[in-house]
Amino acid sequence: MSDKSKHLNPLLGFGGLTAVLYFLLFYFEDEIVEITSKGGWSFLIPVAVAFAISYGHGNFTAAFWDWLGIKAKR
Amino acid sequence: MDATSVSFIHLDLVGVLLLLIFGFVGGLVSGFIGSGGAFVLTPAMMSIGVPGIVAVASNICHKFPKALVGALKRAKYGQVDFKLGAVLGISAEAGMLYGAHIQESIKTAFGHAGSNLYVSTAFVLVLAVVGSFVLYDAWSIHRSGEYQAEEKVTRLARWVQSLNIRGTMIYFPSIKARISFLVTIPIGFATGMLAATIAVGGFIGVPSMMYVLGAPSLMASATELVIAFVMGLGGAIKYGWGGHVDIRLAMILLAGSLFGIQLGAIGTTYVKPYMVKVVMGVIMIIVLFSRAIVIPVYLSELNLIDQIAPDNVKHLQNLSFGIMALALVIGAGIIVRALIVGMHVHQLELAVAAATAALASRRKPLRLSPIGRFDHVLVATDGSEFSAGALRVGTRFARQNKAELTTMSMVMIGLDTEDMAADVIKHAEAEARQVLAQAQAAARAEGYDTRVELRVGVNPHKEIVRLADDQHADLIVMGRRGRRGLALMMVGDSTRKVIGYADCSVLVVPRAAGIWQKRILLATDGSRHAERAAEAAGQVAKIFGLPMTVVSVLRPKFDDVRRAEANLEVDRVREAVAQEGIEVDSAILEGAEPGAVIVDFAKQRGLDLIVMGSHGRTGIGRLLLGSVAEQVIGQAGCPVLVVKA
Repeated sequence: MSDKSKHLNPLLGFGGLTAVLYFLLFYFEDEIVEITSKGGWSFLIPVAVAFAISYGHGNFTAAFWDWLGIKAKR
Repeated sequence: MDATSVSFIHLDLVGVLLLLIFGFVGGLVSGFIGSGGAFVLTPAMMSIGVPGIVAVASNICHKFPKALVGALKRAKYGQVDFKLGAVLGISAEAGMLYGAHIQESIKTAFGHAGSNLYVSTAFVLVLAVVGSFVLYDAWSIHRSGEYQAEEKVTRLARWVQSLNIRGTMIYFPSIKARISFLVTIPIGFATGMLAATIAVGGFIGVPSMMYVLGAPSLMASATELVIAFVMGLGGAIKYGWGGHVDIRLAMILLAGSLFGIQLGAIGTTYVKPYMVKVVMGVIMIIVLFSRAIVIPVYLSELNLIDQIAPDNVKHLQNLSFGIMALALVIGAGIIVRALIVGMHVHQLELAVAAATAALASRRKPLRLSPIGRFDHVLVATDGSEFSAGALRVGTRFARQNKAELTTMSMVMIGLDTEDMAADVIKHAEAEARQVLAQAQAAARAEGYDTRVELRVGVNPHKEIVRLADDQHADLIVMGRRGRRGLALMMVGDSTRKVIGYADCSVLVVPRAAGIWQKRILLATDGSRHAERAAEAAGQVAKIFGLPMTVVSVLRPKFDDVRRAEANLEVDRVREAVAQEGIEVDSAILEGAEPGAVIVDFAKQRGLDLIVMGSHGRTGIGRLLLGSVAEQVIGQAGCPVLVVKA
């Protein structure tokens, strides 16, 4: 149980961050789709979103498997 | 939503769930083999109504953050060669641009069908050649059973590593060699071209790193994630500049695939490296069929063969997609199974390690106590041939040890012959005295003397044990079976009872056995009695200046923890014996019948004294010798010293 609770903080922290990022993405869905579909320098938006979500969600998914006890051997 | 965004579809819940699942499975495969999870996503998105170019663009935009997370995860396990990934990634980027250019040229010249035919042909050719080779290599490793052996470097890789082109050499940690970057250019370029053509550059990148450059398979698959990141980022910028990336689609795919890629990466730490080849080979060969069956469709669209009915075209395309998805699901299934098995085995290993550590900390190093001396030896004889060995060995042992020696014999009176004629008893007594006189003479002939004792009683074992107690004997020496012995293959009733009731150790000597001269065998089972047996064996070894072999017998049904305990115990006893200056070795034996295994081992190695502990039972248990001791005493050709705890 102590092992599980150790992984609970990153799980909740990064889970919260990921939820916020996805919420923002879909809250401003129309605006983002409109801007990015124009092309040009707007490519920075999908690339920036991808980096931001890969940080939050990448850490969340790592914490998720840790929390479940599925960890690397070495 | 204005006119420019009409190509971005409206997302419904089923579509989102499907993308999450496809993303997860694709991520799992990518995390494990470094690539191969993306090729099914573009057609999957198209099947829910996403326009082709948006599907390709969104797929590639989810690919680079996925590859980034996977690469960082596997870098934690020391599997990523960032330098090799970056060098290959740069040329892969060029290869991808060139591959896209060829695609567009073919599309312009031959139309959509021509482009599809080119893609499918590339699929089939690459997958047939590379896939068969990878699968054959995996099969060879599986057949040889050398899973743990260091992966063999191919002859081609050795040649590549031997090339030395000045000014172009770079050291790559994954290969542990300097390689000319000129060699990496065609590999990266081909990887990029394949990525632009079939969305899975890793089907060339990973096998090339393994077979052409000589990188281990786990490092090759992990490094491929770096290449995928470089290519994916380039592709995302290119398609994003064109306004084709639907970031919502890409991020939904990413939501599922990051769960998958983490799990796939974790999986690589539990499996044997050749599993990367198995998963990659299996997926490649199945995908090959998925593409091969749609080639006739494109040939018919180009009018190179007869027309195929539209319904049949749809069926073939559905079947093709189904097989492609199946490839991914089978690959994911192999990974999940390998992960579950690997984790289970690892948990067992941890349990063994923990048990061994706990055992080691609980048990202090064994010290052979100077007690366990044999200062007073009692030899029991009935004058029969069966006790000839006991008399001979007992006398020699006492002489060598300078121990006090008593030889006893008995006159037995049956309960039903209480009123036996006095002259019959006198005759028996005279006979017994003669036996003792002969024993005394024999001892004197050996240059030693013995006290003699004659006892009259009902039960031989009681008389022997009582005399041993009276005289504070440290050792009783007796034959395996008496004159009234039962079946020949069994330990005599009196012998069994003496072992059960005596407080001191008992040396059981077969009729033909002599004093030990070669080597002593100590059988240990890790019990308290075994420790006393080790002390006694050590004393005997010192007295006679003989070497010793410590053995423990594992039954086949023993689990890993019991096996680890046995190893630890044998080591502990061996170290304790060695500290006494005795030459000692050890062996772990295995067999369903430990007694027979010990006897066979002693016979094969020419060991001529077996020492083992006795369970020192109480009550009715005293009559039970224990199957191992019973077997050893009953079958051994040499004396057996049973040490009481």
